[in-house]
Amino acid sequence: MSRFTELYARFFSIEEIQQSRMLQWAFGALIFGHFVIFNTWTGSTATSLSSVANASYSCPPYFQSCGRFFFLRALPDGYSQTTFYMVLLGLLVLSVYFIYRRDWPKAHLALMPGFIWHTLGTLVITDGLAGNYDYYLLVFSIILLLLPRKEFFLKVSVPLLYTLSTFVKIYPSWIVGTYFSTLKTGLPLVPDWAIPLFTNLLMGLEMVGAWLLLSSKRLYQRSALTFFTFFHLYSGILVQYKYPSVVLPMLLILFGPMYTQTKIPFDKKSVFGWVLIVVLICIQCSSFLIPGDTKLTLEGNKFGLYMFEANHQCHSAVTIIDTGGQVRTADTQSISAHNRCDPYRTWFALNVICERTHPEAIRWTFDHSINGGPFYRIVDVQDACALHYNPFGHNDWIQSEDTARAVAMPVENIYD
Amino acid sequence: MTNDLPTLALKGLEGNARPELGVIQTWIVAHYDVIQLLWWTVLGIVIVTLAMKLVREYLAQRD
Repeated sequence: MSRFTELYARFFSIEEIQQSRMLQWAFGALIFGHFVIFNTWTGSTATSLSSVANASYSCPPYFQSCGRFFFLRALPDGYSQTTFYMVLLGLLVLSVYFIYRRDWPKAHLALMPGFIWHTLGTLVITDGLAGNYDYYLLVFSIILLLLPRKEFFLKVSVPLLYTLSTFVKIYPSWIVGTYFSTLKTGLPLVPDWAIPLFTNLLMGLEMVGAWLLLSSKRLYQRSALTFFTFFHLYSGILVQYKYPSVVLPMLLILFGPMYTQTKIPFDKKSVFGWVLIVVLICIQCSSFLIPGDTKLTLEGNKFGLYMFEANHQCHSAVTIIDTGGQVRTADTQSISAHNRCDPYRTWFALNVICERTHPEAIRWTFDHSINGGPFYRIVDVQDACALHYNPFGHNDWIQSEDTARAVAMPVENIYD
Repeated sequence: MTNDLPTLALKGLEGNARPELGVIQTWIVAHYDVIQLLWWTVLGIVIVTLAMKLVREYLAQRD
């Protein structure tokens, strides 16, 4: 082993992977997770230069100049993006080859570019790629690739993420079950009358039952594993492959036949893992500090897990008045429950138009309905070009349910 | 009051009915504040229980 490899292996605690069959399997699951995600990203225009040119890109609210850093061109405008993702796929395959050779430092090194790109794509360079499953993959990756005491923190991360996901579910979407009863198709395989029973049961199991995955009592541990295995297979009926593909393999590896209880570490090396847990909890709580109903305003909604937080539908009406007095209108709607209807996204697109064409004014109204409730006119402004978006607090130009005017009632929508 | 509002069927949803609450949902809405408080309490108990287990384990290992 070269000096570099030795230092590299020590820095990332790779000996833990070398010594644990469970972590070796988990490493394989991580490669698979990146493959599943990149399979979608390779065709997306979210980080393509063409999306900057046609003003269809969107940056994270806390990094609104992300477009300046785009360097790829997606099909059909160029080959650089697919070339880039094929290099990443090659590195994932190379990582598998090094696993076969049992050369774990090199397998780790080969996965790092994919991990770094996934992190950037999820948190930094665009607002248009990541889903909740990316947060799961990110947490698993940080622990397995970067932190010491990998096995313990990986095991804790699963019930922790389940429980954190319930923070946003203590809301009518799940307590009343209106997320699903607003869908024309209801909740898969569950009669409409039983929807709230099912959603509350699931909340309880994610909040309390998830921790039984760590139990030393075989009956409890296996019962929890069985439930969450079926849950992920069931959830795929709605969310399809990505979420189950990222979480289910890790669940089975960590809590399946190889499961043994791991002693809770409190040594110096474990500090990083504990800090990660505290950070995850703090981030999940942060949106509660923003005034108003953040499920309606979407402010801070992506800070932490936000899966199935509310069923959305919205209608945006824009009138652009050019300096010559010419008037153009644009009407956009979203009917898919899981498309978040974030007014920030529309504001971002309008802001690009403001910077590029300097119109006299852009009048804008944005009506948002959640969980089958009224459409609230949460934005009603005379000039969108005069607005700024604060990513970490409430924006006065976005009204919440107590100040916004109800303008219409929705009909049942779809999950698309 | 919201029942007086006009119905807006966005493009692609024409012909769909307004969402309506079932019997159990109507009961839950009537008791929503209590049930919500119950869930926050359960979540609080889970967090406190986990924190106490960690402290106990830490003290046991230190001894």
